[in-house]
Amino acid sequence: MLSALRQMLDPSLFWEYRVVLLQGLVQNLSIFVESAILAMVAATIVAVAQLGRSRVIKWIATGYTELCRNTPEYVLLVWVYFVLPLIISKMIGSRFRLDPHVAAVIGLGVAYSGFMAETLRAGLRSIHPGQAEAATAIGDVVLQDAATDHPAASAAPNPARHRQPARLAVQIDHHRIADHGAGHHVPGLDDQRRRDAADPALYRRSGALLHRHHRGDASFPGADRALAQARLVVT
Amino acid sequence: MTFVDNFNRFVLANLGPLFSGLWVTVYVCFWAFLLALLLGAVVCFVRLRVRYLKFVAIAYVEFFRATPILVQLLWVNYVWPELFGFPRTVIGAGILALALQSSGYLAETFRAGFEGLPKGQREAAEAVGMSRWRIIWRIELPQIALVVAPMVINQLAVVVKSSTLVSVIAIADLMYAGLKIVNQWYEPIEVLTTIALAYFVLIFAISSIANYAYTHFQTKFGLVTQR
Repeated sequence: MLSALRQMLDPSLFWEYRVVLLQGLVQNLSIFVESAILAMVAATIVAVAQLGRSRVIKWIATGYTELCRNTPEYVLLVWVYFVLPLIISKMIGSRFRLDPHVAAVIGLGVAYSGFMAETLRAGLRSIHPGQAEAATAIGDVVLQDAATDHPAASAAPNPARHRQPARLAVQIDHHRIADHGAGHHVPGLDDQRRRDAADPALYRRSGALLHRHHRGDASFPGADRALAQARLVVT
Repeated sequence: MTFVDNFNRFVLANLGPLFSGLWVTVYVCFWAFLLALLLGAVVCFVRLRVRYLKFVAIAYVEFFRATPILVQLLWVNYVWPELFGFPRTVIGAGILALALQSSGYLAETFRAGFEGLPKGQREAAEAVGMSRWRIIWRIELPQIALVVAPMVINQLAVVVKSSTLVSVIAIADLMYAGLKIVNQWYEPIEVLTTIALAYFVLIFAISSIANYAYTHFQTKFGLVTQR
């Protein structure tokens, strides 16, 4: 085996073809970098779309990620190189050709944008909704709080149950800040928010939470804090 | 409509070759995955329990995880017959290359399963006098099987995905059959789109099973695992 190996392996070949090999490596790297950038941009857009308010956009985004994740890269590459130009040609009515390098970048970029979108979505979802709520409470404009605060999410039973207490706690914060607001300067808390915070429904919901606690039914993350604050509101 | 005409002419008229290609894909994936499970289990065992060969196992796993499947296919197909005298057929080379790569991933999956078990279970089993194999067979394996099942099924999806590349070494799988039709007529739209959809359906089905296993196994069997 070793003699066969020695016979086969001729290191001088590498040196002889170094230019071709290195050019290939550079080509590899450039395709890698370009498709990585494409994948990141596409994945960010798709991940945000998946967490957005519109159901149709959500379905489209989910369909896109599933299609990208479950189609083999090789098939996608061949499809982009052979089929896509033909479809575009038929659409624009004249002959259209795709450069192999561009086809490779599009194929790989699209293929991996699906995986990245899922990763990004998981990352965005793993951030506790209370953080975004706290940020809104002190008046920050949250670029993307769709994950925590859209109608579709509160319609879903399970995540909503986890979210309600956190949201309640923040609303109670609003309320208390509004109560004491006369004496203290609270940065970023504008008048509209102050009016929103003085919400009579808050009393109802705080009461409901305390009632739930008395039933022995209030165990969720952050329960202690929410309960303490609900007591402050009700008493 | 031209699309429907072309579809009838190039896809429906060639269903025979396409299905025999699909059969080859399934055949290659089945044996590759089976071999990968076996190799993965052996490598995992060596890495965890055979002290002197541990580094060989680590090198094996890292090597096969860090090389692209296309390179491995070509390497196994062209270099191994000269070095080791096997595999003799392209199908054998395809199966072996797919199995080698997946075995690296599966070995790591199995190891994660073993190491995720609380140490106390093993100690307790030893304390009541169970033998080494009995502990593995009756205490550790049943739990690990449930925990790693989703990841193992996912790996099957990866094998099916990678199997599209075996067409490069002239194994007549689904992709190969499709490309052959494309080269014959030079009408790629319908054939390649159908093939892409066929692969999508196949892989989507497998990953859906994995997802189901992921979300339901733990609650169903009352397992507590790290997510």
